[in-house]
Amino acid sequence: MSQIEIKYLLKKYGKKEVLHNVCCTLKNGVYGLLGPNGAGKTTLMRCITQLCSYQGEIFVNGKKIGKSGIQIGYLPQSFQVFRELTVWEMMQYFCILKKIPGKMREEEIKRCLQIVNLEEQKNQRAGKLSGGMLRRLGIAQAILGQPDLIILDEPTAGLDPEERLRFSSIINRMEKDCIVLISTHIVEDVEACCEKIIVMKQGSVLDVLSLDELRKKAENKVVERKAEESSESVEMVVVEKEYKKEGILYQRVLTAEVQEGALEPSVEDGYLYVLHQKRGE
Amino acid sequence: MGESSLKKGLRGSTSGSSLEYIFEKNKFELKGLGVLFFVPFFVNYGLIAFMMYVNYIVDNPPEAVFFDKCCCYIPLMSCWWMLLIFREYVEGEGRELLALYEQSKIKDAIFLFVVYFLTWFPLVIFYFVYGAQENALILDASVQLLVAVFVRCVFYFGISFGVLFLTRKIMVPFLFIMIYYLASQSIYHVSNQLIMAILRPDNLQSFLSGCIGIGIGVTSLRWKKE
Repeated sequence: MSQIEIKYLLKKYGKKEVLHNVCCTLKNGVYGLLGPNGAGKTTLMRCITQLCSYQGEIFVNGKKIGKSGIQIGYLPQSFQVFRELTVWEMMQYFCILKKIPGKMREEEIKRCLQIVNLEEQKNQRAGKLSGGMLRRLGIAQAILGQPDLIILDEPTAGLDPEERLRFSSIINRMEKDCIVLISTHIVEDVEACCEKIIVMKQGSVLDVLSLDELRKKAENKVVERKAEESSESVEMVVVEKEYKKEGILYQRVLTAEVQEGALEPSVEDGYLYVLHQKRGE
Repeated sequence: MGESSLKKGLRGSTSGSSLEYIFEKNKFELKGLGVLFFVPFFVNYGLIAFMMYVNYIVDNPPEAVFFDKCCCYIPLMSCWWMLLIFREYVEGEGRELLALYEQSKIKDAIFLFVVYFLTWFPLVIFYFVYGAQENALILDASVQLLVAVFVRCVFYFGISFGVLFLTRKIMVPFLFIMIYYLASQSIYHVSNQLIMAILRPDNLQSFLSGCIGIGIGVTSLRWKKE
C-alpha cells in the first residue's frame, strides 16, 4: 500500500505564489483534483512528479519522494512525442524509458493496450491517431509498468462525450492497488470514476472528501426558484445555472442556510458549495 | 506470479547495460524522426555525388571537389539528428513527460555523434580507395580528410548542443549554424587556404570550440533545471 503525504508545499513563480502551504495525504485509490482554472492543480502535479522545485516536503511511505524509488506514471496536458512511431513502437519506447526488462515488455504492452482498447491500432502511427485515441495512448503509457502513482492531468480535455465515457470505464477497470490522481475541472468526470475529491482554489487545498461527503455539504441548500424572484432575501452562495421550463426562466441556487423543500444535491452542488463557502470565510 | 512480484519484476533496476539502454532508446528516437532521418544520407551521399558530377562536367579535378564538399556538408549535417531529437525534449509537446525519466543527454549526444561518424566514415574509405586507384592520392590525404571533417563535426555538433540547451529553442542553433556556415564559406573563398591543413590553429580552435559548446550545453542542462 502506498501513501503520499504532502506537507506545507509552497511554490512561487517569481513573486506569484501558485501553491500556498498545501497539505494532504493520499492513499491507494482514485482521487479527483478539482478546481477552477488557475487553482494550482497542474503545479501541484508537477511538484509531485518532481518536474519543478518547491518548498515543503512530499513523503512516500515515510520516505522523501526523491529517495522513495516510487514509480510514477504521468500523462501531461499535452502528449505527443515522436509522432512517426507506431502505437506499438511508442509503447516499447516508454518501456525502455521505464526500464522494464525486455522479456516482460510484450506482455505488459499487450495488457495496457487491452485496457485502453487500442490493440487494433497498434500498427498505426501515433501522429495519425485521433485526439481521443492519442489520449488513450497517453493513459496506456502512464499505466505501463504498473506504477505506484498515476497522475493524469486534464485527461478528458477536448474529448467528445463518448471518449469521456470510455475514459471513465478505463479508470474503473484499472486495478486500484495504486494512487491515481486525476486533475480536471469537469465534475461529471470526477463523479464517474473517482472515490475522493481534492478541492483546490487559488493555490490551496480546501478539502479532501468522498463523493457522498461532498454531496452532503450541499444537503438541503439547493433550491429552484424563478429568476424574477431573485431579489428575495435568501442568503445565496451562488446561482449554479439558469434554465427555461414552460417558457419561465428558473434558477438553481445554492444557499448558505438550510432551506425547506430543497432539491437533492449533486456532487457539483457540493463542489460549488465548498468552493464558494470557503472563499467567503 | 503474484501481483507484487509482478510489479517488482517490471521494475528490474536496469534492462541491461547502460549502453544497451542508450542504444535501444536512441534507436526508437531516430526511427521517430521518420523521413527526416534520411536527410544526412541524402546530403552526404546524394548531394556530394551530384556536386562532383557537376564539377566533373566543368573540368574541375573530382578528388579536390570531393574533399572540399565533404568538408562543407558532412560537418553541417552532424547536428541534424541531435537537434531534431532533442527538440522533443526542449520544445516538444511531450517534453514534460520525457523530463520525468532520468536520462543523460550528453551520453545520448555522444551516441548520436558516433552513429553519425559511422555513416560518413565510408566516404573516407571511398576517398582512400579511389585515390589509391588513381595514384593521385595517398593515405595522408585520407587522414587529412578524416581529421578535417571530424574536427569540424565536433565544432558544429558541440556549438549546436551548447546553444540548444542554453536557449531551449531549436531555431537558434539552426540559425547559428547556418549563419556560421555561410560566413565561413565566404571566408574560405577569400582565403582559399582553410581546409587542407590538419592541425593548424583553426582546426584546433574548431575542436576546442566544439568541446566548449558541449560543456556549455551540459552546464545549462543542470543549471536550467528548475
